[in-house]
Amino acid sequence: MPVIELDNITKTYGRGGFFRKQERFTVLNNVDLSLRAGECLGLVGRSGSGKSTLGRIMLGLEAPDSGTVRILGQNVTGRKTLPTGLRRAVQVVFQDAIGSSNPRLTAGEIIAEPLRNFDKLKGRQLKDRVAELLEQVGLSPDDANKLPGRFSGGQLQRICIARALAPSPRVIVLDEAVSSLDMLIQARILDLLTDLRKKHDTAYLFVTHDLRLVRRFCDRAFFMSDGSLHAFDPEKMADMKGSKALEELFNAILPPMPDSERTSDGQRLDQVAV
Amino acid sequence: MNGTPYLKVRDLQVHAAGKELISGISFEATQGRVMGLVGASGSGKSLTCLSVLDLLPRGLSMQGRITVDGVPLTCSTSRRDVRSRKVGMILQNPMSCFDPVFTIRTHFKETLSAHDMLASDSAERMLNALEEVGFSDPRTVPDLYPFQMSGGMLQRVMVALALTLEAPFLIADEPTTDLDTVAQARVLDLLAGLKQRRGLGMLLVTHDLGVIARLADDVAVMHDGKIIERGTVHDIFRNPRHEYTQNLIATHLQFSGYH
Repeated sequence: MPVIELDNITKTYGRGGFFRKQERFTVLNNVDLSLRAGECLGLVGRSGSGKSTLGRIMLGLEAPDSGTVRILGQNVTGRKTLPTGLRRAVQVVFQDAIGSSNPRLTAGEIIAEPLRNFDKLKGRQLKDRVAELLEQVGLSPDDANKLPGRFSGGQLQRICIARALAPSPRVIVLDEAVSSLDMLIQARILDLLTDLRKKHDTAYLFVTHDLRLVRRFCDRAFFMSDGSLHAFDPEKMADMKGSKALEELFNAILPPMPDSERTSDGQRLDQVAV
Repeated sequence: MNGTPYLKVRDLQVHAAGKELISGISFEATQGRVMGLVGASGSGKSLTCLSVLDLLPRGLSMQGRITVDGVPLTCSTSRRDVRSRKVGMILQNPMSCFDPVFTIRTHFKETLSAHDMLASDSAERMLNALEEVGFSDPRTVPDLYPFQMSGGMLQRVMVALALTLEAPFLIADEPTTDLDTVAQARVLDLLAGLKQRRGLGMLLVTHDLGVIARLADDVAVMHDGKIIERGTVHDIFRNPRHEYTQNLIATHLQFSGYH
């Protein structure tokens, strides 16, 4: 059974200033998508192509103009609040870590919130689980007492990932969740997520613009442009010459190695004392 | 390519309430070359940039010697004076670096007047700068509000703002992290072009080794507030010596599907 099913979703936004007549802009045009348990689905596209909107509709955070959204088989289209069981099952990590954590709560309190709400954990148990989650994302249990302002952007993002993992969800929407992390941490977080997927059949919607990450992490992938989805195989990106937009994205992938022509003048900086 | 370093940092230390965040790093950067600073989040990359221009948040103190264009900057006022004039800066998040209620034109005026450079030809300078950063029709840009533009466009405007002040050196702190891949490639092309055309020197801070491979000439790897390895970009990519660097390069190559 698919954990999340989108059927014929259409979404438009109003565009234009306060003083001009607004024009409608179609972001999603009859989109169908189903996410099965234990699956990792990549969603790539340029910024503004509607990736995040699709993610928000999947989470029930936004209502589509038409079409239906089913989470774990239940129709939740247009519901303002999800039932607790479903709310727990779908979690999200946004790109903007600073904007998605309360600056007045400590890291420990941020991660404890879903545990208190959904699992009714208290005292020692709660503390241990928070410490465990912090360690999973590569932070130290001592960090639990620090406020968000004391962390760097990448560290705070890991706290947000720990918060999403806390209620053991069935689906996590990762909306550019690892783009701001350095590569070693990215690799570590992706390994952790793959691990959870094997153990608990967690499904992921992995929204990103970095094709390198899709290749590493996803089973299926979709490219989004002009409001519709185009499927492609993450393993065979080199022969993606079909669509112009996807080709453009593919050509923009950064080089793995510096080209040999640069810096051939032999100037070196290692005279500088360390 | 002149050999004298434009920006010299010696034994830079940054402390926060007794804790050492940066412990004595030294590096230099020349005009016409890009010095890349890589490292994990929280390794002190951004703090290094901020301390050069006296932009450290309150509560953090710095020690060390900073020289820009041969002039030692001994007090915080002198560091503030080189800001924008001699060393421009572009930041990670273009969306929150602009004031949403003012047009791009107003941002240019404000920047120029803050440095007493507002003159009769400033409109022309603005258009020239906008053209240089790759807007094919620069005349349409000044009347836009920041929220009417994409992240990639705003990042190019930010570069244009730095260019109007004619700073010969640019500090770029994660300039493309928030942009999508295509916009990122364009901004990196732009910076590479500026290096070639203007002989612009750059201190490029990033965690993405792909960006380093694309743009940097020299690399310093930071870890826990120290520079653990440095060399030319080829040295770092082909023969990383430190274990941490080896790990970083290996992960990067694996991600990029490089064999």
